[in-house]
Amino acid sequence: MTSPLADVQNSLQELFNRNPKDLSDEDVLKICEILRAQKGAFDEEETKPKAKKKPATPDLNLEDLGL
Amino acid sequence: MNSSFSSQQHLLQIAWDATSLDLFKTCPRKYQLSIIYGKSSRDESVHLTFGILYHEAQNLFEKILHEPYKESREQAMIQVVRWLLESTWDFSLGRPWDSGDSNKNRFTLVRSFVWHALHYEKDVAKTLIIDGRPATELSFQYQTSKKSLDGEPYIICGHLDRLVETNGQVFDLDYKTTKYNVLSQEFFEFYSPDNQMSLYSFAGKIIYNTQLQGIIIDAAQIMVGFTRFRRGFTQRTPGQIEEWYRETTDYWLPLAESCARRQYWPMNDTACGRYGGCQFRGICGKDPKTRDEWLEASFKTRVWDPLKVRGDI
Repeated sequence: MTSPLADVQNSLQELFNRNPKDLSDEDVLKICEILRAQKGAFDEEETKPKAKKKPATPDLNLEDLGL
Repeated sequence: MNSSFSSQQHLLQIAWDATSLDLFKTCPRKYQLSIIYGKSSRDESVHLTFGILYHEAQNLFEKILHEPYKESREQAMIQVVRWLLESTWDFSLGRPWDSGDSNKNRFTLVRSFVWHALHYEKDVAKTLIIDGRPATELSFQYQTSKKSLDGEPYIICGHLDRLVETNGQVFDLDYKTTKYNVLSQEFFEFYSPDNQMSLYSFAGKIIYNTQLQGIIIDAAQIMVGFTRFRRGFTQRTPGQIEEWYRETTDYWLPLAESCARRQYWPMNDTACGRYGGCQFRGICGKDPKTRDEWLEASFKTRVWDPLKVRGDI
């Protein structure tokens, strides 16, 4: 029995291996939705406090660019 | 036929973009092999293909979002993902593009585009609209006052990725894809001084005559399991832009012309190890008599014409 995560990965791989001309808009949307979920998981991991994390430069805040 | 070269001196480049100038400044021999001979390794070709498609996807996305199409963000995303999938599919062989690179490949390309669109969903940097169109992929050619010995005026050319506006101020936004850690302290420090960013600052101020406040570097760190985004900022004062222009026209271009007329581009052997090692290191490390054979055997040939092509090496 495969895990839900592996199922999603297989489904994504199957869509990527298909001739893009055969993909419907729903198929492409499904790709976007899976990637959105993967980004959500990555962002969650990124924001978790990490032990001994190197100090990072702050992201550019465009609103502060009042030059 | 390379339209950026002189019609009189066939080895003399007249139209210079940031890539050509970067290469010449780094090492004249590297410039000779890459631009004059047009040699490109498989590795460089992957980075170039990936970079061009990433840029084109961003450009297409912006166009679809704005007039006259004005699609919803979701619809625009679907269209661009479909375009990317088709652009990376070999229809004659019936299979996807195989880059052979674990970081830069078809999947990470689509993922990076989608993640970028999601990451900047509520972006405060709004694309500038010029003459009713989004200011993306702006090509520029500037005829300098400097002329070759035959009297041909040198041209500075290139493309600005996107002009954006925030708080009433205008910035050039430049997309970068990299394997380097964009969270590191040093990542954005490498852009000042930096030839490409100085050339773009020059273009923004002089050619487009915009009150360009600086350049936003929109970096995407492409890894096997994720793409991480971060933006940095770099700025040039009028004095710095003038210094860059003066050094380019008074020093670097005459030096390049001198090499072209002597048909000899010397090696800068202090630059071979930079950025993980020059792609031509294996060639330059061999006896001069055998280099041409090695070059033919290990590299592909392509034409780098800054007046036509789009991308960064």
